[in-house]
Amino acid sequence: MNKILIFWSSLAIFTSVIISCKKFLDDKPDQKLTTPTSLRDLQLILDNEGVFNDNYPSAGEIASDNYYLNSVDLGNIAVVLRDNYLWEPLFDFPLNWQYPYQKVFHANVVLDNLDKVDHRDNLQYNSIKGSALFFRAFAFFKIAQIYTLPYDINLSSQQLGIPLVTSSDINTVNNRATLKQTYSKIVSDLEESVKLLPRQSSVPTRPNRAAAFSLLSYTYLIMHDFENANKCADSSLAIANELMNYNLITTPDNPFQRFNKEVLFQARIFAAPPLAPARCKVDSMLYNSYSSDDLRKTLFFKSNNNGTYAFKGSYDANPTGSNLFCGITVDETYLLKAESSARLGRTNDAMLWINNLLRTRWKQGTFVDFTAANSEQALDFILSERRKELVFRGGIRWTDLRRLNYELNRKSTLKRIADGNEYFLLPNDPRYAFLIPISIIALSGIEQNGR
Amino acid sequence: MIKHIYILATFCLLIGSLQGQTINGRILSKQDSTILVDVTVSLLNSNVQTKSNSNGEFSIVYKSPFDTLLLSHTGFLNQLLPVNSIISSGQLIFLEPAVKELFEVKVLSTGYELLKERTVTGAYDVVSSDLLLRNVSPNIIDRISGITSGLLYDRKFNLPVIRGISTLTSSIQNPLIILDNFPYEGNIENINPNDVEEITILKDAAATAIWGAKAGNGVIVITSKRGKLNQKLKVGFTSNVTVGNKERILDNKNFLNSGDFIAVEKYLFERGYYNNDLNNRVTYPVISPVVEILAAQRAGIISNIEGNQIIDELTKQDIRADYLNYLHRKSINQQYALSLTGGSSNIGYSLFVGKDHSDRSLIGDAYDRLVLKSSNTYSPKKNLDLFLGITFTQSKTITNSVGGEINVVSGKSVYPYARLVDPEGNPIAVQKDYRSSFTDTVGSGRLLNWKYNPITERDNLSQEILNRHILLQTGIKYKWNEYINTEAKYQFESNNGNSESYYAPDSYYTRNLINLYSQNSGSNLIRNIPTGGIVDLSNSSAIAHSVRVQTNLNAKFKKRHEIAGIIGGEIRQTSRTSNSTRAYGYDREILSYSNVNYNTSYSTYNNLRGTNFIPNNLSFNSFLDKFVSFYSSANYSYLEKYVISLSARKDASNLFGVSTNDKWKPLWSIGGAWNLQNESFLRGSEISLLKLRYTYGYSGNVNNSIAAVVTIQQQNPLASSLNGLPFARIINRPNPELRWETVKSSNVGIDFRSFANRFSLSVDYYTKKSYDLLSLVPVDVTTTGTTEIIKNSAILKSKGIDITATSINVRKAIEWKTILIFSFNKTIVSDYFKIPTYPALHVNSGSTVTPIKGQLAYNIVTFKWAGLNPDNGNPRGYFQGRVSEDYTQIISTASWEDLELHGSSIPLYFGSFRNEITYKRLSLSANILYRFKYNYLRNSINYSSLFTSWRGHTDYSQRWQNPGDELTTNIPSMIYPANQRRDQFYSQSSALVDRADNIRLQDIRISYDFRSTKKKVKNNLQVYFYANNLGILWRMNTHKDDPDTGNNVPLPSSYSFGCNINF
Repeated sequence: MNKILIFWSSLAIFTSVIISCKKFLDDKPDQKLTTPTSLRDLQLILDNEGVFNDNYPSAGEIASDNYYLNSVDLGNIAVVLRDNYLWEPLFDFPLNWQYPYQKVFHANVVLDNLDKVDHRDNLQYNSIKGSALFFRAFAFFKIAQIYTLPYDINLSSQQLGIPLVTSSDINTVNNRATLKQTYSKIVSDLEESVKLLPRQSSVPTRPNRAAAFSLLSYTYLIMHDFENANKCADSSLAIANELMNYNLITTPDNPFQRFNKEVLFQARIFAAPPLAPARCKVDSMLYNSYSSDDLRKTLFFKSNNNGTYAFKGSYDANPTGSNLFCGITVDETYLLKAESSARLGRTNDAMLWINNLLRTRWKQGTFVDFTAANSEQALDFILSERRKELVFRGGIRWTDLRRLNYELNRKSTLKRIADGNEYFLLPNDPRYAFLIPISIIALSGIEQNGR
Repeated sequence: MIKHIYILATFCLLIGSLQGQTINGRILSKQDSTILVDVTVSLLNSNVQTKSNSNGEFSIVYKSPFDTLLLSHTGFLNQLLPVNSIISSGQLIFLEPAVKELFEVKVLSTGYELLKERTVTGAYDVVSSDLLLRNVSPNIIDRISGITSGLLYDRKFNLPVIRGISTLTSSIQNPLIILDNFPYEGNIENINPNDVEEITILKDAAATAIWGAKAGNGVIVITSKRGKLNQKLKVGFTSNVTVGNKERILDNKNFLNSGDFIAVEKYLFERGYYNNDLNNRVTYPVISPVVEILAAQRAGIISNIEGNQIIDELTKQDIRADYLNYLHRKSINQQYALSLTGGSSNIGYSLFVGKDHSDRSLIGDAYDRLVLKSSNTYSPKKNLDLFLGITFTQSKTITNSVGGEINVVSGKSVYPYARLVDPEGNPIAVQKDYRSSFTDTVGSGRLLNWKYNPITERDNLSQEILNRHILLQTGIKYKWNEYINTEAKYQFESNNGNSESYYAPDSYYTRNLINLYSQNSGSNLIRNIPTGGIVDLSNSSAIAHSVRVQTNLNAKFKKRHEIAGIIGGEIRQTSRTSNSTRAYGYDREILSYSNVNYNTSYSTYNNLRGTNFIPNNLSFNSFLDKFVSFYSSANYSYLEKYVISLSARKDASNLFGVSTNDKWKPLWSIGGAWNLQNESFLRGSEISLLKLRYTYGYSGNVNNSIAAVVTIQQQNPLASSLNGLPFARIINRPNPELRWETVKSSNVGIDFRSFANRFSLSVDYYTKKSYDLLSLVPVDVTTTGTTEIIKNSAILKSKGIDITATSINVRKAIEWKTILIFSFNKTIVSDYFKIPTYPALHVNSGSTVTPIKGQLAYNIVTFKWAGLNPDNGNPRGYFQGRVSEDYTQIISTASWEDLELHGSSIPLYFGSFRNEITYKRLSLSANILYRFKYNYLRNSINYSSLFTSWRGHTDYSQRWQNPGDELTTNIPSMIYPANQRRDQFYSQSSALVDRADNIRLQDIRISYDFRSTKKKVKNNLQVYFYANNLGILWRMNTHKDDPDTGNNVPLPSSYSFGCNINF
């Protein structure tokens, strides 16, 4: 009797254990891991500044003409960066592709999950959706500057663009869109985001309407849609137009604070050893183009005490780093406003905005408003000031070189000297579109850029 | 499948016929031919039974000629004899004594059940306690090194790999360790080998399938000592001391002597290489003393003569002498172990106390271990057994050393002419992190001293890890009847690790951090980190509960059928948590601390290291693994000749994101064995064992660390240095097809043992296919946002042979025994999806699996070598078949014709050759290990890392310097500026590959027993001497390298002296 009792009771215990198995196995193995289930989770993904505010492509700034390297420094940097610097036709540095597409993927995860989580909070929902769209558009924009030829208003529907990935499903196939489609997508994402984003954000690492309008203005400018460029610049300036007065800067060694009031959106390129101030020597023509009353000459540059100059004026308060600031700023919007006005023939408007900007850059009491006889003269002046104001801004010069090469009198031929050889980059050279990483071509089969 | 059924069917053949009425025989002991009285003699098919008389004679009447005689006698093995094998009346029948010999094991433990040797179908190895005692290592795994077949010890692996790798994920590469019936979660170092009774290594599917989804890499079953009922008190005491030589750092070729190093510095200085560093007023990088002197000479601060004199003095110095004198020492390891086992009619008990202490070979490092164990079996009733065991292990690891060599910054070794002491022997400072001239004067006295003194630093550190492990085991077993019993077992395992790293106020670590976070504010200095010590505390805890309920069947019916089976279920849960904290301004005496502001990012002093938050070292983790398993195995034998075994198991775990149905993984095995020695045609022959075995089945590998759905992980806000906001990382991309890895294996084996164990041989041939292996699959970053995703994708195929042969060559006054162990394993990657764009990307030193479909898993792939350029000493390779110096192209896009495949980097053939000679009470044994058919990639000079990281190599002196040198050397010339790709090409070229084959004398043991060993007496005192790592006897490479160590420097030898007492 006793035996039977033991037998059945143990059997009963055992069976109940089996039945509870299903629940037993539902606990997650790592308490830190969660699936995105709330708007807060999605916001957490967007607040990953390592993904969204850092590691933008460096290839454009490295290939630009603001600086040069001496032969010792050139010998000390990785060969792939040397290739980048000398515009080697086969230069291939996959990070320039990988990092921005990592941003695209993260933005897509957020966009795809937005409607799956509890999204009753409309304000937060809009802000998250607008942010994700902005981040995606900004990434597309940056990729296009590195991997496509400059936007040609007549040929853009035949020019190769980039893969426009809009889903987080890892099994989708994406071919290269045309350049027209690429820019249209950037525009449409940004147009949608400005409707959703808050006017300004609590920290500049989060997108906001002012930044989105400024980026939109620049995109329209590249597309030669000057009317819209002008309007968007207006919209941005209506939200944020406050400039720093360079006369009030008291820390000349480290002149610009991180998140200073001109920073609308914080972003940096990934570390680019050729651009490290210890190596990077500012082009002497460029340095000499600053007037001695121009405070930027002393705030942006410092002497190496051997006749060369280093750049110290990053808007990221990091005078020694090579991961330069590449975000969106108020001064840039001023320049966009001025340039688009000039291009629309509104000379007075153009000069008003450029003077408003320069007044804060000039030594107190020395500034006299600049004038221009016609819009073409105004444009030339604005473009030269644009180069001087937005120097070493993580690729703006590169984008400007690309777009201005389509204009007859504004073409540039870049030249480097290394180990006694001269290297040239001619206007509209196919090398303005870097090779898409060979590893990406091998995996996706998308079309390579021409050489 | 048909193949397997066929093989099993052949075992089931049965033959025999004869006629007759009465059998007469005489029974003797096989060992010494003494007469055996009272042996029970019965017939399997009838109820007749008799016993042998005082002359050992018996007579029995049989009815059927197909009947079988069963002879059984206490202390002897049962013997089955077909009636028809008794040819003559009064035939002599020998019974084999059931005396336990070293290599004759009656039962083996799978962790679930005990199997009789003859009914086992799988491949296993048993290491008895006697053999475990041969080696004196405090680590149980070291003790089974070189004495079992199929186990490969290689520095690439954490634990030995059984029969080649079965997975590509190194975190799940270890074999499953079972300690006293349950998987062991603790540190393997916590197990005291002196408390181990026996180790069984399960190698094939029949052996491992019972362990299911965790057993794909093989299983090591450790059984500790336990008391038995009705056993006299046995006391064992072991003590030994091991002294290990200092590390052989002078044999390390990754070193450039001071003279050559200074010559390189001068060469670089003349070319302006150091100008940037010398002019760097931002980060103040370390400048070597010679370069400082050269710069001072150039600037005219000191005269050339003066400077050259100092440099000449420096040339004579060798930092390695100081390393040996002030950082290294002879290691000392002491062990003491006491065990008591015994039992009365209803209680069996065992007590164990073990204490170990090691002074490691780096001054400041030590290890301590204490093991206390008690286990008791109690039988309150005839049918009921209760078991209670508890083990407490405490270990303490102290690591106050500053390493075996000094780095000036991470990854940059100190210049070879540095000194750790001044001529009077007082510890002195070595440059660290910053240039001396900077730390000399910076802060004009307001900062803390910013110098690094390696020897005194040791006294300012206190880094201790204290680990406490508790293992509680309880069991209840109820025998329903003579055949069936049910047992329930519960195990509780708790592991607590506490680590404390204390950096005293005077330690460089503390001073450096305080200085870095100091800021000048006018004439004041603001310290954002308060003065005082820094302490890092971390705690980890692992708690595992296991419950097992199992019913065992052990029945014999009609005297010829024997069945042993188990059925059971098991639940296991392991939760692991850990956390860590830090305190600043910590005073160890009064336990006070200060607050710091973690929320502000501070500009470091002089902006030396940019802008940073103060590190807080906070972390919290919690993991939970759950398993549910059901299992069953059955073993049926007929006439002790034909055996069939079956096992099946189903496992489930809490794999994240996989729907419950897919969490279950069924695994099974089938096997058969044929004991030929019990066949009539082998009766009375010299063969005491001849068994054929075959098994086939599946086991698995489980990795709970990956999930099948998108997962995110929230990060510490301070990890984002810009905005200080909390954020989340995407950890996992969706993978709905995630499943466990599976290992399919089959094994054919034969066991042979001659009369009186003079000769025995065991041979196994196996094949393994490991599929659904998790491996990186390259994906298009464009759509996935990442470059690689882990998927069930790869397949590995292995085949191999394990042989163990034992022979007693002489068995007289001198006994000489030889044991030869031979293993062969060849593992091939038969599928792998990560195909690099260019073959050049397959280039691999062999330290990891080389993913080339159809090639050996561990392969060395290099750039084909075309010799040095006779004009300038440039290394040359091939590009598209032509000799080339375009290193960029070769490295990134070389094709197969430009590469060379050298074969395996792990030995395909390996094993040991052990001889044991016993003369009276003196025993001598020596183990020789051999490893054949593998390769290694040597280090050589790398000019880029010599220039930037000060890492030299003795090959420098043989470099190409003048035309003609290329005929005698393959070492490239030194060029400036260094070309990283040239160096990379050379360091991965076939010029540096050599065969690694070697034979080494692993160890020698000499022991003396004060009582004779032959009589197997219980009371004994043995003293012994043991020497380990005695050196390479033969090697195939010509560079005097030891290819089996990380830097090709032989391990230091060690010498032990000890005693074992048993009474």
